[in-house]
Amino acid sequence: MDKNTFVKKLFLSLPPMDQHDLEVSLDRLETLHPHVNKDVLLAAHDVRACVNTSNDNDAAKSSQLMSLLRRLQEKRDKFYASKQNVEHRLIGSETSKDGTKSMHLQTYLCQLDAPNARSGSWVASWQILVVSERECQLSGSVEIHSRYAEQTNVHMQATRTFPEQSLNTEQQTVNSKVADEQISHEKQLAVTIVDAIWDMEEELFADLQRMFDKVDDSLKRIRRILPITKTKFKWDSATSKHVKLLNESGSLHK
Amino acid sequence: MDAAQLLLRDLPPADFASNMEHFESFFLNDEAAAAMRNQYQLPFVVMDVAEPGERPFLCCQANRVLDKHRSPWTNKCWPYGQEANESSLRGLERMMNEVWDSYKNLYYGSESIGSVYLVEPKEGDDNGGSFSGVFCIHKDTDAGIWSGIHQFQVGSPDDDLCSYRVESSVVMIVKPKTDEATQLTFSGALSKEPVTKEMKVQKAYLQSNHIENLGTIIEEIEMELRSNFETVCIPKTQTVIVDMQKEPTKFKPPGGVNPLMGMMMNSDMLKKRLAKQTQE
Repeated sequence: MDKNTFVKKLFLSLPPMDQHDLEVSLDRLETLHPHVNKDVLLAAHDVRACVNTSNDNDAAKSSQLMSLLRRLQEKRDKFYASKQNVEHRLIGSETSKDGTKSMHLQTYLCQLDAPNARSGSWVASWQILVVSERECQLSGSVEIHSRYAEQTNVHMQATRTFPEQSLNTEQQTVNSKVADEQISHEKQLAVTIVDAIWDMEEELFADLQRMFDKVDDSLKRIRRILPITKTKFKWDSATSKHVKLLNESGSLHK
Repeated sequence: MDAAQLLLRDLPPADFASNMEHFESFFLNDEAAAAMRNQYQLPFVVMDVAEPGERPFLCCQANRVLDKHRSPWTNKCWPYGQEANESSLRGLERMMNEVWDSYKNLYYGSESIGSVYLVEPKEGDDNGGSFSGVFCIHKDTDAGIWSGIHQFQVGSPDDDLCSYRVESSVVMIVKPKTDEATQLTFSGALSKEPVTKEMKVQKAYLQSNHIENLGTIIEEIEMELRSNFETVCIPKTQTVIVDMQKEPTKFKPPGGVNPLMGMMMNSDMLKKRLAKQTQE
C-alpha cells in the first residue's frame, strides 16, 4: 500500500465526527504527511456522506432514477422525522454501457451525540442493474460504525454484503390492479427496489440486535468473569506452591 | 509524533497494529518510532521458541535487549538464544512468572500467554529493596483478543508496610459469531488511573508478599476493566445505532384515568353545569 492510499484509508476509517473535528484530523494528517491532498480526502468523505456536490445535477438524471430517489427520500423522511440529532442524506447516479443501464444509490445516516461522547453512522451503497422496465438486479453493502469516547476509545464496526438478487414488478402490478390504480412501470420498479432495500436493512438491524446478545458469550470465551472455581484466585496458596516446587527443582536462583 | 498519537486516539483499536506499522514505515524517524513503540506496546507480539525449557512469551520494552527479547523462562535472548545477564531479581521474576501462569490459566485459559518482567535496579543505587516491572497478558482466539499490560512499582518496605503502584492498560477486540455475509467487531482501548496502595508485608516472606499483594491489586483492576467494557462501553456503542434505526414509537397517552380528573368529572357541580348547557 502506498502512502496516499494509506492516508485515505486512515481518514475514512475515522469514526463519525463533526466538521470541526474532521478538519482537525485533516490537519493532523497534514502534519504527518505534508504532501497530502486534503481536497481529495474531503471529496472522498463527502461522497461517502452523500454531501451534494456541484457535479450532482438533478436535471441530468433520468426520470427512472429521480423516481427511485424520490420514493426512497419520502420513506426515509417519514421514518427519521421524529429522531433527534439524526442526519440522513442520499445521492444517486447512473451509467450506461453497451445499452445496459445501471444506477448507484448511496445513503448516509449519522448521529453525533457529543454530550454523551457517542457517535454513529450507517452507510449503505446499492447497485441496480436495469434489465428491463419491469426487472432489475440489486446488490449492495452496508457499513456501520459507532464510537464511545468518554475517557476511553471503544468502536463498533459492522459490515454486510448483499449478493445480487433479481427483482421484478409482478407484485406491484398485482397491487395496483387490486387498488385499481394506474401506476407507471417506472414507479412500480422504484417501489419494488425501495421496498427491497428497506426490507434488507431492517433484516440487518434485527440480525445485529441478535448478534449484540452474543457479545457476552464471546467476551467470556476471552476472559472469564471468575475462574471455574467461582472464587477469586488464591494468590497466597499459589505462591507457596510454586515457591516449594521451584525450591525442590533447584531452579530458584537468588 | 504528536499528530500520530492524536490520530491513534480516535482510530479503531482493531486497526492499531496495522496503523502503527504504516506510521513507522511512512512517517516516523527511528527515534520517534522507538518512542511510539515504548508508549504503545499493545497488542503484544508473541515469541514462541521451540527450545528445551522455553514457553511462549510476550515481547515488550521491559524485556527488550537491543534488537532481541529476553525470555522470562530461560533468561535467554531470542533470536539466537544468548544468555542474558543474571539479574538480582531473577529468582523473584521466575516465581512471579509461575504464579502469573497459574492465574492466567484460570481466567484466560491455557491458550493465553502471560509474562512478568522485572527491571533490574541501577548498579550502585541504594534502592532499599524497591523495584519495578510489568505483568503482561495476551490472548488471541477466534472470539477476539485481550492484550493487557500492568506496569508496577514496589516501594521500599517500611516496617510491616510496603507501597505498590500499578498502572494498567488493556486493548480488547471482541468478534461475536455472525453469518458469513456479516462482520461485527467491538474494539476498545481502556486504561485505569494509577492505583497506589499500602499493604502489609513480613520481612521473612517479603518476596511471597509482593507476589500476593501485586496479584490482588491487578486482579481487581482486570475485573473492573472487563466489567466496564462489557456493561458500559459496548452497550453505549450499540445504543447509538439502535436509537437511529428502531421504529419510531407513537405517542400513547398513559393508561388509566388521572384520579384528580376522575374526581372532577364525577363532581355534582360539573354534572349540573353540563346538564344546564345541554338544556340551553
